[in-house]
Amino acid sequence: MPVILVSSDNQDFKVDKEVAERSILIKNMLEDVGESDSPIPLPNVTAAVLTKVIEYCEHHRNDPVQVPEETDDPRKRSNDIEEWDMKFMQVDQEMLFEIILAANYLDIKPLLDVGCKTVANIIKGKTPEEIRKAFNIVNDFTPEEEAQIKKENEWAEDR
Amino acid sequence: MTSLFKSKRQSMLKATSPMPMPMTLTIPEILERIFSFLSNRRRLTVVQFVCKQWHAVCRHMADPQPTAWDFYLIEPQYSVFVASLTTSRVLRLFSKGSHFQDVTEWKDERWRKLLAVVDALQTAGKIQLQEVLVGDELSSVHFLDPLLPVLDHCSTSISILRLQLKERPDRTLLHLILRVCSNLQVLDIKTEHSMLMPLRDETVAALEAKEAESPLKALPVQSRLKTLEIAHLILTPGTVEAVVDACTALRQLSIWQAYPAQFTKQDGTRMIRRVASACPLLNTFHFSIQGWGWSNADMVMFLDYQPPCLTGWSFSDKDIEMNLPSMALSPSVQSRPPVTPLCRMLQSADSLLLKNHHQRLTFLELKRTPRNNGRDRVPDVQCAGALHQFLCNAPCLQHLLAPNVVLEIENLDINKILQQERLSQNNKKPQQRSAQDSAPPIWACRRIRTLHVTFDHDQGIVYQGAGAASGKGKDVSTLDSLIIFGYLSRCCPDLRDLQMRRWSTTVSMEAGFCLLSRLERLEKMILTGRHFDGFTKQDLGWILKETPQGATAKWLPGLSMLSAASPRSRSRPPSGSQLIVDGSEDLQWGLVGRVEDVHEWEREVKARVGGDRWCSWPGLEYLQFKWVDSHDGAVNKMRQEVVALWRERWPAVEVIVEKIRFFEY
Repeated sequence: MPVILVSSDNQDFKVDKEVAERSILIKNMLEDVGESDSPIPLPNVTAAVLTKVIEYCEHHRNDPVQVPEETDDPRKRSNDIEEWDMKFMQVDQEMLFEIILAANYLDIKPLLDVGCKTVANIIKGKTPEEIRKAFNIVNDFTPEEEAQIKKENEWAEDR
Repeated sequence: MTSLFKSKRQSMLKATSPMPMPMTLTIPEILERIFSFLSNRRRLTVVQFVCKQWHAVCRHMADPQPTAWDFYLIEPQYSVFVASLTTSRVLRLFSKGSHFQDVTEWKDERWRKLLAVVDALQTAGKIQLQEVLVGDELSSVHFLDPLLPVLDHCSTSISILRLQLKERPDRTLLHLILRVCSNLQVLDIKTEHSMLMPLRDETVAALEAKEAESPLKALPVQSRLKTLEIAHLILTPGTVEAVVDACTALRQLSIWQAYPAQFTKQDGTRMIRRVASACPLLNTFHFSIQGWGWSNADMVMFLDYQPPCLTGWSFSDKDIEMNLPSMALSPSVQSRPPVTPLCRMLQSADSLLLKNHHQRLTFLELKRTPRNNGRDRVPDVQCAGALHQFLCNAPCLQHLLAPNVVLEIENLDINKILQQERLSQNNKKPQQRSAQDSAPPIWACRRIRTLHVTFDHDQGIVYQGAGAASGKGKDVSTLDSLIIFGYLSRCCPDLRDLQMRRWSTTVSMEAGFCLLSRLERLEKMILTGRHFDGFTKQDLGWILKETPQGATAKWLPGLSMLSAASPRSRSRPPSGSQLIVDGSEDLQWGLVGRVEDVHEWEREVKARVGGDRWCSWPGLEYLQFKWVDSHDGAVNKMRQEVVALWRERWPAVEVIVEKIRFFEY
């Protein structure tokens, strides 16, 4: 049965129920409401982002539901993004962060993880200054504060 | 003019005005999730210096030290211990030796006091412990008996129990734990000694009496237990069957080097069948018995009955070992001893076996097993090419953990460079490869992420001169390095964790160490060698050449070998057994083992990054070099140079340089 999702800019998206239910938020809403044709408003997600999220959910519609404790396997904790997901995440920074926000809001854990892993990969291999530059972050430390943290963490350098 | 200048300047200002920081990166929960994919060291040395908010998140995430308890904690240590129980995730319970050790009542009283504290904290909802480790005398039944009900009471948080025993575990201990703690997710039981002496007759008699006291009964259902690892278990009939009947949700079952008591081969066969039928979700399985190897019949039965989800095989490395004589090795393959059942299975080209088993395996472990001949460690295990053959037939394999099993360098030498070198050493004319020569088999496991192996020469091939024969000759050693590094960097672009052992390792530019920088997803690298050649700052000059300025954000690590990492269709030619992986022609195999490969890589890097900085190993988090044949002074000198070099280039990488003992090699 199809479900109608409405983006924040009032665009309707007709998707299969099993696709929509990759989002735990929508799944719970559908369970609470029961059988209904009424559209589901998603005021925090724009049409452009919702299109991407639906594309992801369509691709992963047959994936087994993630069992929380199995994600703690150390082998899976490392940087292991699937090929399709990696290509899916080849978007500009703005869209990447919008997808992460949407995944967080819609409660789509695998998508949230892929997004966060992508950002973690950008951080890897960079110095603090390079990270600031990449994400437009302002350094709000005073030199004294920075020196203090360095001093507190000297043990980590010597390990 | 002025207005034109002004407007141009304004437009420039507009174009370069900074974009605001993304809102996503201000939400602590999302930041925590992002940082969870980074190592603790990277968080401490890099990430927390970005801004105050990131610093706060990193501090919040800092792993608390495990909380440790033993009988001899004195006040104020005890107060600190109790306070940390509310924040710590791991509790270690060990007992140091002391002259008080025979005071049983005093110990019992202290033990009861500890358990009462933990129990009270749990009742008050103030406990965050997830894991408990118990060792020394505290892992005896005397102390475990009162501990287990407390752990069960805390089962909403504590899900992992690890024991380190002084003696072999038996059925009564294993069943006691599973009977009382019905909510564990991981149970890991190990012994302190890797090799224990065989049981004496009187011990077996005592065991029989103990088992008679508590007859074999069904265990309560363990719906949450996912991982059960147990080493040196005294195996009696029914011990494991009762466990698997109760633990139907098991994903991993590892019974390592069990010791058979009243246990026959038929019991073993029955047990494997029972595991297959009782644990449908099992994905990794290890079953080895001290002194027994897998027979052909066992192997066939295992393949016929293996659980449907099984994608991980684990065997003792003894099962793959060829007992080659150490002296006077024969170059003739025909005169080698017959292959073991496991070798035969790994080498098999039978299409049904490949389709049903090899081509769905994602994990293979050949666990380092102590020998009974006094060597507590085994330098290396020769398997006559069986492991290489398997890798050529296992496209789905992602993790290979076989730290001391030899992968023969000759099998990786697809351009026959070592053969030509050998012929020229013998003053023979190198043979030209003809068009009819079939292409050598190449690993099909292009997505492999974990590789722990030993590289050595095929012991059936003799090189001129003693140094060359053992790979110690500098020329052959350099060729070996070029071949290994070139092959791995082209064939395994997804490697995250690389641990290799070799007689002689050179990490110089000339030997192609820089080729490993093609492995852009590498997170952990451990190189072990009897000695390292070319380990100087000059030899690692290529690392220093990377200009540290002008970095450009690359969204994907797809600079190198992206074509190799793309999905490939696999097909089998009608006439041969060799698996063909489409797209292998773009990997420029002709360069493997040649110094041109290094130049090509240099050109490739320059062409790709232009004037920008090239950052090799952006994800590297751990690097370790282990020496065997070195003076402490030399190792210390190397340690200073290497650690300083790497710290300068990769501050977030944990670098360790250490000397190890021969038997740990």
